Amino acid sequence: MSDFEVRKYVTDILIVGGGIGGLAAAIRARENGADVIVLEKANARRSGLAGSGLDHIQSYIPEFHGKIGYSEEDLSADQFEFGGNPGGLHRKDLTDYFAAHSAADVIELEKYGLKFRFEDSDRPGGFRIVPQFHNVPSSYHFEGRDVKPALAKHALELGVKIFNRQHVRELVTDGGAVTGAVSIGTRDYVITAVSAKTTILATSGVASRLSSGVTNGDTFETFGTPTASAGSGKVLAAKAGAEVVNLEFINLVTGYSFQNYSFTIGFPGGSWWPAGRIVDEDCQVVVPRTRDLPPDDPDYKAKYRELIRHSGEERGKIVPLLLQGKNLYFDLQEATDAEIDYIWWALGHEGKSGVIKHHLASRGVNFKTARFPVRLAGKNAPVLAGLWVKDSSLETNIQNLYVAGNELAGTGMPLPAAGNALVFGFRAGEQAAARAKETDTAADGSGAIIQSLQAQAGEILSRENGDHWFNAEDGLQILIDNNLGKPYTENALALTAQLLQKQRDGLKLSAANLHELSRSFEVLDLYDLAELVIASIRERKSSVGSFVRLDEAKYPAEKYGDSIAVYRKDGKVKARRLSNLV
Amino acid sequence: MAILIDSNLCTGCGNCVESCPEDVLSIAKGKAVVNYPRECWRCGSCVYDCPSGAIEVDLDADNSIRFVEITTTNSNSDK
Ligand SMILES: Cc1cc2nc3c(=O)[nH]c(=O)nc-3n(C[C@H](O)[C@H](O)[C@H](O)COP(=O)(O)OP(=O)(O)OC[C@H]3O[C@@H](n4cnc5c(N)ncnc54)[C@H](O)[C@@H]3O)c2cc1C
Ligand code: SF4
Ligand code: SF4
Repeated sequence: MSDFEVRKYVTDILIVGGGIGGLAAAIRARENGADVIVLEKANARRSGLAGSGLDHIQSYIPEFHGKIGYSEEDLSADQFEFGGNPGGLHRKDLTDYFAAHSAADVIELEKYGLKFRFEDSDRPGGFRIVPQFHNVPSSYHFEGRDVKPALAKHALELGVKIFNRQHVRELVTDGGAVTGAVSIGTRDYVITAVSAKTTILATSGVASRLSSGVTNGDTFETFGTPTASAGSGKVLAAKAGAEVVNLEFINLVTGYSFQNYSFTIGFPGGSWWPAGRIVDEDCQVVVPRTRDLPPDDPDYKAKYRELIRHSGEERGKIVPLLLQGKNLYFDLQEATDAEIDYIWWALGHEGKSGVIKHHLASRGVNFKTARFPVRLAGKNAPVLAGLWVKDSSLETNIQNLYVAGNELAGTGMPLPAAGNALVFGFRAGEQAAARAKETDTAADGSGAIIQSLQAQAGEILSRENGDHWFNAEDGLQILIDNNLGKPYTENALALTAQLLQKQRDGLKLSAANLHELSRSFEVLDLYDLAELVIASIRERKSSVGSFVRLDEAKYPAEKYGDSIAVYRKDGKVKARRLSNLV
Repeated sequence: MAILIDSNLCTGCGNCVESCPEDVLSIAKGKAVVNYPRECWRCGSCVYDCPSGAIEVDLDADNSIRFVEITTTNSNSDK
């Protein structure tokens, strides 16, 4: 029953995760002459957070930004500032890289058949640029529903080998360098071992399954697609000795939603915002709608900044009012017909929003006359954590291990998004390909890992009446929800760490088939990730932004801008400080 | 349940099974079937990739989006 066929491959570049970043890396590496293998847990055609589409993407947009006097430096500075600094969440060298390269990288998607230009646009370039919840005027709408099928098709045409339904469980290391990885099938009894000159991790940024948004009741609801939201890349990296940063900023704050969805920030359907407003029970406006400026306004830049600042402030009123028990509604009473048509169009492209669109349309919603009750939404897990890199070469502190997409720490706008994933995907592919040219293939060192993976899989598959992954995940989420994301003290943290350890030691997972086995492995990753999160929190001893230490007076004052890095050494979690000021 | 498959329209081509990121679907007796309904993320990928229009994904009652029709200023007909 649990006899796995072992398949071994040798390649120049191995990519773990075929999402936006992983496929961009694969494409660029292949264009640079490298042989590329992608190991993807789902199917790269529809996997990852962008699997069912994007309706907008960010970049520097020369045609438009040139006209309003918004420079690449402005974009980088805005990204840096909005990224939560001086908490140290963003890195200027990376936001500079994004500002300089994003225009060319993003518009490359046009070549894969995605539509970016529209005849009805009054913006330079024919783009649809609408200020929405993004904080810099650098987000354009496009027809991105099929961005993943388009990227996957292009990668395959170039000769990238994609192995789908392979769940990567461990990186292979040799003398401090990464030399490949081992994965296990989620549908077939196949273990794959790939030896590679360079390896790129691209398993997504969010790890939303750490908190309860996911398994809330009988649904599987979370911000990111559950399969890509178990924090797997961070766990793989830390185990190989690579530094993971910003995990202490686990964000369990309550947000709000007008879609009865448990999203807090960055929920799909942001395209409603510019035309939407929040009203109270008596139809009194609480948060007004926003209006864009004509692109030829000579003072566009300054006015735009003010608009974004102001609307952020206005929206900040919502949660406190909801907490006071006020009934609030979202409506589109002040939207024009053209704006409402636009919203229907955008909903059809952004992931998951297509289902929302269908849901509302089938019940005959009329946006002109509908009011949506706004309610407090569930909790949210870390989105800003990621792998530390030395510089914009995107190599981690572990030799030959690169990072792509939102797995990279220190960039985002202010959240990691598809533009960043793409730009830092292409870049990783290019850099890893250059390194591969000067690197020899290492000897296959996967033997011991394959053996222990087989044994672990066999144990979980053959155990009778053990813990089902779903309950194990629930147990972890309860622990996290109850203990993290609020002001910390060392005493309470030490206790939480002990509880986690005890719960983990007591786990006896069992799985009826490979699907459940893969879910069980995800849960084990979540437990490992939780251990890293707690170690990061304990290392940061004073308050920064949303991170609050009640016992900070006991510790010497610290410098803002430092990042906390965690990694494993001989299995034990270690934490250290990195200076973030570049 | 959020996923409805019309077995009269389904040809058993397997496109939806290939696409589903959550590995919720499979083919049994020549038709698509839902194995893990509570793991559906409601992304809609299976709907987009079904060549026969056989799948509908909706929000289930618990997650249904509520809205109120404003006919007069005080109307409260909750849907
Ligand atoms: C509903 C929704 C709508 C969004 N809309 C927008 C938008 O309109 N514009 C925008 O800019 N951003 C949007 N985003 C965010 C955007 O989708 C992400 O920023 C982007 O997909 C991140 O790319 P990535 O490559 O880092 O990760 P992903 O695209 O998530 O890819 C990660 C991949 O790694 C795979 N993987 C994970 N673990 C393993 C493992 N152990 N082994 C093998 N493979 C593994 C996953 O299956 C997945 O394919 C949206 C997100 C969501 C959830
Ligand atoms: S909606 Fe998405 S997660 Fe649900 S069955 Fe379809 S493809 Fe799978
Ligand atoms: S894609 Fe459509 S026709 Fe093909 S198996 Fe799935 S439901 Fe049936």
